[in-house]
Amino acid sequence: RDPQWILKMFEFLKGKIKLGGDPRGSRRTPQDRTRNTINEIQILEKHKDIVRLLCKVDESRIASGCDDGVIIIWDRITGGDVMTLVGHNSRINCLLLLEPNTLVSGSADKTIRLWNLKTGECTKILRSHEGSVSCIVSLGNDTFCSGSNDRQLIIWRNDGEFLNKVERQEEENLHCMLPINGNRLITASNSSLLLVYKTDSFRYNKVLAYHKESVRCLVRASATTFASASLDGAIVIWQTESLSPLKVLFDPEKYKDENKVYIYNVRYLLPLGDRYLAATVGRGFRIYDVFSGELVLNCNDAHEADVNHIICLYEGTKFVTCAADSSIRLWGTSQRFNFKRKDKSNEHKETRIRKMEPILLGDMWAHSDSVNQLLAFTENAFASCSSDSSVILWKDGKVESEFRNRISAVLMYKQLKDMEKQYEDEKRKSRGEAPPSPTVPTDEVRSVPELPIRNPNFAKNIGTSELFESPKPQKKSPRSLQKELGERERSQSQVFQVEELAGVRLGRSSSDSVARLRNPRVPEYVFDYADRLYNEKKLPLDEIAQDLRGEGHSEAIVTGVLRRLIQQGNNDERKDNFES
Amino acid sequence: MAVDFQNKNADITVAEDTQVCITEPSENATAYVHHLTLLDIYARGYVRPVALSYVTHDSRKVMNHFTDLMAAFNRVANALKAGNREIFIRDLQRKTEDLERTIASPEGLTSQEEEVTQYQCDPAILAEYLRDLIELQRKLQGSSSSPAASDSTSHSTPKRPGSSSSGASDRRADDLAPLQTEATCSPDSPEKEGDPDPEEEPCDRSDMAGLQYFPGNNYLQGTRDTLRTLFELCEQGHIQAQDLLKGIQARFSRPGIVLMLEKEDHNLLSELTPSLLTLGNTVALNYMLETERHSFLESHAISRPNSQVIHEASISSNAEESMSSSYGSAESSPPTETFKEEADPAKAAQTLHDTVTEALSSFTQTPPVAEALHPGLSNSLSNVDLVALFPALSQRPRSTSLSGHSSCESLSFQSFDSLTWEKGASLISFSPHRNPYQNGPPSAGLSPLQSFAAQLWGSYHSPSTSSCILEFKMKYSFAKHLIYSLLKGRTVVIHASPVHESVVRRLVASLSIFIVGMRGTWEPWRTTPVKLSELAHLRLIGLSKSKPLNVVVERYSTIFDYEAETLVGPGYHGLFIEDILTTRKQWPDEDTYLAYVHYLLFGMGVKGCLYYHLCCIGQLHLPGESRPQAFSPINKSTRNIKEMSGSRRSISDSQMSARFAPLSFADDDSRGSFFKKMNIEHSDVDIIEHFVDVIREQQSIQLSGQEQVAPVVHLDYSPCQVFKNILKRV
Repeated sequence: RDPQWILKMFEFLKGKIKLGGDPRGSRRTPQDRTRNTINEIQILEKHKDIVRLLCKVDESRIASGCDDGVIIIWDRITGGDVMTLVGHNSRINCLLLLEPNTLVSGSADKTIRLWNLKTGECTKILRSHEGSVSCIVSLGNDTFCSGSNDRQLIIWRNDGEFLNKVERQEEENLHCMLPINGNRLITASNSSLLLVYKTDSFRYNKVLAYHKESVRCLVRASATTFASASLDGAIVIWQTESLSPLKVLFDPEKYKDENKVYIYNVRYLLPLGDRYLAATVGRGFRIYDVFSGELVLNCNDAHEADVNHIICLYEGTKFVTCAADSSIRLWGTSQRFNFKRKDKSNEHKETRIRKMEPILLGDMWAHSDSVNQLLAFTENAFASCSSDSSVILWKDGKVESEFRNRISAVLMYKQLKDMEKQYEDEKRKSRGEAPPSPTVPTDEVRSVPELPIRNPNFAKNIGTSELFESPKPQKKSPRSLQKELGERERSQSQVFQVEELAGVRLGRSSSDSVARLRNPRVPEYVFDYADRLYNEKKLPLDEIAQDLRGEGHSEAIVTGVLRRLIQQGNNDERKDNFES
Repeated sequence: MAVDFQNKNADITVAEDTQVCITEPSENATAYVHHLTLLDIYARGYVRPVALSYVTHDSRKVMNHFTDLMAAFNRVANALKAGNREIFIRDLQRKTEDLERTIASPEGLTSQEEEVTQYQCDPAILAEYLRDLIELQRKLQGSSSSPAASDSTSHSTPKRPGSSSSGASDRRADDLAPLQTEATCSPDSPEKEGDPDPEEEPCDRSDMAGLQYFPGNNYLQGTRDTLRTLFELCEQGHIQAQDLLKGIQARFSRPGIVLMLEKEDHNLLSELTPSLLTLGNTVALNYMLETERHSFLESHAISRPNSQVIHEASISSNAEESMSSSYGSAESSPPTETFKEEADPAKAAQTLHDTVTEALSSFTQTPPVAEALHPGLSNSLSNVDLVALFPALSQRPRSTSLSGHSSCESLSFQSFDSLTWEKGASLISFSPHRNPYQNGPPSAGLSPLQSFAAQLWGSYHSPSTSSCILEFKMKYSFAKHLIYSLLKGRTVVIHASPVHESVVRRLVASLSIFIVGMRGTWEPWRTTPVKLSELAHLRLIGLSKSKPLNVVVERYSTIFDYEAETLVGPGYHGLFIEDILTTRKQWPDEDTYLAYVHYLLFGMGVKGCLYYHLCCIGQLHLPGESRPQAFSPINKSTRNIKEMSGSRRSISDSQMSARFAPLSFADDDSRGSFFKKMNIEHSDVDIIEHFVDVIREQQSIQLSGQEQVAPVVHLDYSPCQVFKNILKRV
């Protein structure tokens, strides 16, 4: 072809190329798309009004609160709605999970409701407030506190019994509360002051003044500090014990533009481990080192509108932000720094990290209105709720794909087993042999440990229980067991991962899977080894635990082994020593 | 058929149906002949032998489809028998009544004495005859649960004697018209022989003569000199049989290659499994290799033709056969042109064939797929037939050599066996509690699955839905980018003003062949806005410009502006679609090109299948790689194939668990090495991965079997470009 023509075409196309494909012509375009693998979404469209709140119920369920007073519990794996909690007749302001199956909701209809998440029933309605209930926090010790715009703070037992109430000292509407050590509760309202109340004596304790505008966020920053942030952009670290300001992370002098709009409005604070604190500041977000007070990462124009929320994924290496412009963005850093890394020593207090640049990894548009909140339920999946009355589950396509690989492998296995059986039958028939009589379950068969997969549907659908069976316990010498320990546990843990994944994902009733996650199954050979140490070598439980830890077993497995040993030896004094 | 059944007593001796294949070398004709026996009260021994035959010049067609012919003709025979039985019982009843009346009133005999002198009618003989008939009637009624009767219930609706439609008085001369042409033997058409045996006298039994004189016996007036026709013998059954025969004629008069492909696909379609890869409305292959191989072996159980045979059959069936019909309902003309692909596409086809074969053969040298995963099934891996692993491999490449069929009967596959496969239904069958279209199903996309052959020689031949894929290819310079979007699972929206609705509808129907998977649907024309959640299933939409496009949907879709002739979407850089849109401009017709496209898509499907087995569920690394193998019992094995096959051992549970228990999956490196070895690069990787994703999703849905699963939308973040059509209008 004519080179001139090609050049013309090139120029033409150059002007037409839409990098990033943003129809609205966003200023930012993803720099490293390959790192954004969150490309599978499930759109949950059952709400009929603005959805402002998300709350994690357990490993497989999340709750969403809507402005029409309806709370829906979703199965985050399948995207199905597990139950709909109807009762409030006004906007849901706050949700709190008290116990594994008790949800507390506070509403603008001045009531607090306790919901049983097993049955979906409202077990109690608390009507002591005379204003919109804006905040509920757990105080521990089987109590929780609710704050309302009627200037009342009420403390309840977890079963809904009224304990006492405290009169708030300020008249402004309440925004947030934070319980801290020493039975103290900090409240933040439309005023610029932070007020401290004693929850044991039900009295006003102290006032903390630093902010110039309404304080909107309160979080626990570390074991000894908490942070507050206000409309003016000020982010302050306070000492928990002395309640004195420790560091001022950010305090802009000019915080309003010509239209009197707060340009550094902090809407959300996210503590990252014990050292870092992420904050949404205006249209951007920042990450501070709490100990040094330095700004580690700064992104001023992350979105086209105010950033509403920020969460951390992929073990502290990536962030997701959402904004009022209906956009959700995935961010990373150039060094792929892990902000949640735990340092056992306190040396990190002295070490300083270089300031990092944020990298936009993904521009994820799916909502059509302001995205109000994000909720991370695993390291690679999260949910978002929006004013477009939808909740969207975002999942990592790569992880999902790997899971489907496993399902395909299971199906393949099942099919091959069926065909092999068929082949054997044909072979037997051709030899004129009688078909084998159905096997009668023997004691040995009955004694095979139960299926690791707790979900009956999964096992039923697969029909290949042996695939996930753990090896039968074999009597071996402790030495040979020790040799095998490392290798076998690795493969065993992989099996566990598979079964957990399968059980959680495919589980209709999630409680088993959750229990399974919390109390991981102890491999028989590990227990066998520990049992020998316990019964034959008569070692105390402490030493057995230490031995197992030395072999590289996880703390959960060690706990499980000890629990089983204790259950076995009821009259053993070693048990009492250990428990004491 | 001059077989005679002498009736010595009141029993009826009915021979079982026989099916034979007869060849006539001088005429170069082969016939499938189905012999059956009907009951006739006026026939000798009460039985009338009947032969139905299908005559063709293509002997392989009869042999290859003998079982199909047998099944089809059995249905016809059952229909005839069912109708015949009703008529026979009715005749028997009437005759019994007449005899009783005659014996009871002997004056009736004397009044017509002049006419009966030659038959010497004796009341004693009549009484004996009556007894025989009553006995026969009793036995017939007693044996109402005979297999023939029970079979017939499913094929016919027996009518009570005396009903208006089955009454002899309602008989019309037109009904006999088809039967008058039955004796004419036309090539490649089913032939029914009423068996007018010249040696057989119509009424040679003396004891039957008295029937003429019975009062009210006008039924046989004027018919005594000829045998009763099939219609008279079967009535409703005959009508039903005629329809079935028309179907048989329409089905088997098609070229042998069509029948072969149809049969092959039928095995896939008969059992919808989640491992089935579909492209548009047709099935491509089953990703479970053993199933695929079994279905192939079953479909070729009688005679397993090689590709050369098929090739020859395709030529001969079109060049020599003339598909005329006795019924005149399915006329088709022989093709006027024969296209043989010898240019680049054929080379590419052969290259692909060689590539896959090589990959498979190299793979089988260490751990063969089927044997490694299931050694108990194959006897000898040294004789493992790669073609058997991928049966259509031997056929589809040859499909490029198909003759250009310009006109065939437009008879869909479903009409033969009354099998319908709805896309939605198939999904529901995977997960009975799930409604995959809970967020507003696009009904237009729920078209039934059909065989590859049916699509080529079937539905596309109606003018309204005829494919315009060739025209699209020639007209738009950005065709490859659009097809790429479809093949990688990115939704394509054809945005057009309402005046172009019909064109867009046709375009959507044509492009739908590139939609992968049973979950993928398309909507030819839509006037309501598209929601993001609908992108979970919708892959191709014709959208009216009267409604604005949702901004979010626009972001994740490829937009084809029909009026502006622009395409906004990810660009394609690869070889697959370049092969599809080959530079060859002269194609005999749309169907030939369509067959070629199908063949290439099938090749992609095979590569996807390899990827699925090697890198997704098995993680068996390709030979020659030094990477540690995940499934050590197999991969570390140094035994050769013969040793493995010779031992013919079955997979023990420990081996299975060792093979699957770790369940660690291929990392990016091994996947990359797979694609490198297969010479799959750039955008083609996305296509192969999408093929596999579709299968895995289908399997996942089947296994989870859960209710109310929110559909999963895959967001495609690929950077988009604007492509302007630079080709002139055709």
